[in-house]
Amino acid sequence: MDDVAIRAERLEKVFGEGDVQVRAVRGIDLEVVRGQVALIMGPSGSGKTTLLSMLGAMLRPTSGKVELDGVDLARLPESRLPDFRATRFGFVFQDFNLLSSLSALENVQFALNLAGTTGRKSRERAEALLRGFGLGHRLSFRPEKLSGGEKQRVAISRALANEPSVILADEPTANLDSKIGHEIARLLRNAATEEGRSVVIVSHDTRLKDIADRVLWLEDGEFREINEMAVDPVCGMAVERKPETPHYQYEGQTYYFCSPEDRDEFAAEPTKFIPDRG
Amino acid sequence: MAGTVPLSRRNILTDRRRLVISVLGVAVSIGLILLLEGLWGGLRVQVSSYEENVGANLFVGEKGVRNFLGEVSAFDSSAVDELRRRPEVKAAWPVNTRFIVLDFHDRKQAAVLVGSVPGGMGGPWKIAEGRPVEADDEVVIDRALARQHGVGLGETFEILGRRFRVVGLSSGTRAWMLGYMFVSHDASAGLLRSPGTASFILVDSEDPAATARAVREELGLQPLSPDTVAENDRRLFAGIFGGPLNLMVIIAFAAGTLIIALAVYSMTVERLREYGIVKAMGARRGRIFRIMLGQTTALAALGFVVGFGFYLAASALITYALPQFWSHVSPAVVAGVALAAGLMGFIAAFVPARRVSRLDPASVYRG
Repeated sequence: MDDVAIRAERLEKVFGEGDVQVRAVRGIDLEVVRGQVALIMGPSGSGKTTLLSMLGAMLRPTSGKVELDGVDLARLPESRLPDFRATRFGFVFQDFNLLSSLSALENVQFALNLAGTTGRKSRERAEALLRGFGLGHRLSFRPEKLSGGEKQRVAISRALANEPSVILADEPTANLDSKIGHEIARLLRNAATEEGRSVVIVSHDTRLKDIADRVLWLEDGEFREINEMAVDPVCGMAVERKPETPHYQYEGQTYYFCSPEDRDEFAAEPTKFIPDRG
Repeated sequence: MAGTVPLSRRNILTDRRRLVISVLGVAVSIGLILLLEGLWGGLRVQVSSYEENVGANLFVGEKGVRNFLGEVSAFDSSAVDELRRRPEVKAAWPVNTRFIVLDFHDRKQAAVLVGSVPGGMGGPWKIAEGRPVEADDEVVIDRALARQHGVGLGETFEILGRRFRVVGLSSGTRAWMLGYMFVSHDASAGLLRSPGTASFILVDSEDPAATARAVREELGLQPLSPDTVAENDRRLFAGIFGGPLNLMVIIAFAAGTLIIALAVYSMTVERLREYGIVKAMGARRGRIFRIMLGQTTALAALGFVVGFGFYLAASALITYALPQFWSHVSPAVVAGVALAAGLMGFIAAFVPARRVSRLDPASVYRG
């Protein structure tokens, strides 16, 4: 048995038919081994979310296969997919996506319940995870009472609760400040390094490159060579350094942006966005 | 499920205002169902009160007569003497009965006039105030009826053109919206212009079966057990009022179910993204349904408890303000309404569960 936790082969997803047909993902091949962090970057609409949904057994591919621990998820009947999602995957979402009526502890316990762990065992496991992430004093707090960083730590605890093979994280550092973003990145790195999980992250955040073993660039549904990348100084997202990308010349240097709005904001007061000049 | 996070309970307790409004809505429905069932139960008890309390074990009426309150029966009262001659008959007394409408202080009042022999069977079985009828110009009326029309002991009023003086007030003598009025047998014969006749003969027999056979074969009259008369009276009233009452119960049940369904549906729609997360995390369809069922049955249970309180309060108020109505629910009816509340919760769970079951788990990735 090889060390690949999740493998996609010639993965394809087509939405619609005829004139309105969209090939969101086009024949992607991907392997992520245990202990590895793979970062998938790309512009909006490039197919990142569709790819992540297929890898997480939430969306059936039009063709190709997704293998998790040697099982082809694309061939499994619909009725078996929930069990796979509950036990083999951990999900981390962009907006934390905690259940608002449950406490931090219950959010983690709920994930354990779905995988069949109940009662005291689930409580002890959830509590240990949250304490391990420094949330021992927040166990009974509902999400609305937690900071963004705390919410994301609860979400990562929830993702790790069932000791999954693969963690799929969608923009895990979005909406977090730099310090907390680094902390969340470190937690995901640790999940791979110390616990041997495979971590697939979809993000625009270039800071995550620091913890990634592999960085993949997805554009128009295909992995492409990563061109020279630049960081949008306004929003911090990674953008391609190419002529059609919105850009602006300032004091002999070219700055690239993810949108014309960011470029205009930068142009109005460049020093605000250049750290050593601000 | 034991030992699992109670997501259903947490969800409904999070929004207290909606919880209170929903529970009150369900409680009104449950209270209304109980009240309608109570009035129905009260009606069933009241319409058969005469048969069950008068003390006869055989009612003898004109051939073909089946009930006490709804049919006119008149036959030669000499049959009383023939019955009294039978060895097993301990007592036999004639009574006249007639449904009448009176002008009571310029208000119309429906009543059941009963004429019985003073000292014999057929008069009021419980005198609350005053005494039984002794003379032909005296009347005993139902106490609630008297209170309703402001009539007291010693007052006089007209029955079918003749004045009568109130000498007694009886209790437990209601036939739902009707009240009993008791006069002497001779007075009733004069009022009904039917001297020498009886509507029924009330018999106390040591061998009711033998007496009934003789009544049928020798006198050509109709013997009926008090239970049969009572059941026939209940059927008569059920035929008149049962349809509308049942319709109202069905409407209240549907309203309660709708309130629960809408409350949980709106909670569900507000949390649709969270249910997407739950599905993405691996919740099966059955689990989603159980979450919905937990919420709807909790609302139904709380609604039942509060609704039962509403019923007790409304019942007491009605008994005080409208004494002609009597509400009575048996433990079996309460249990039945509790089951109906559970059924409301079960049915209501399908609406939000269907909404969530169509939810795409991948929707959690679409901001």
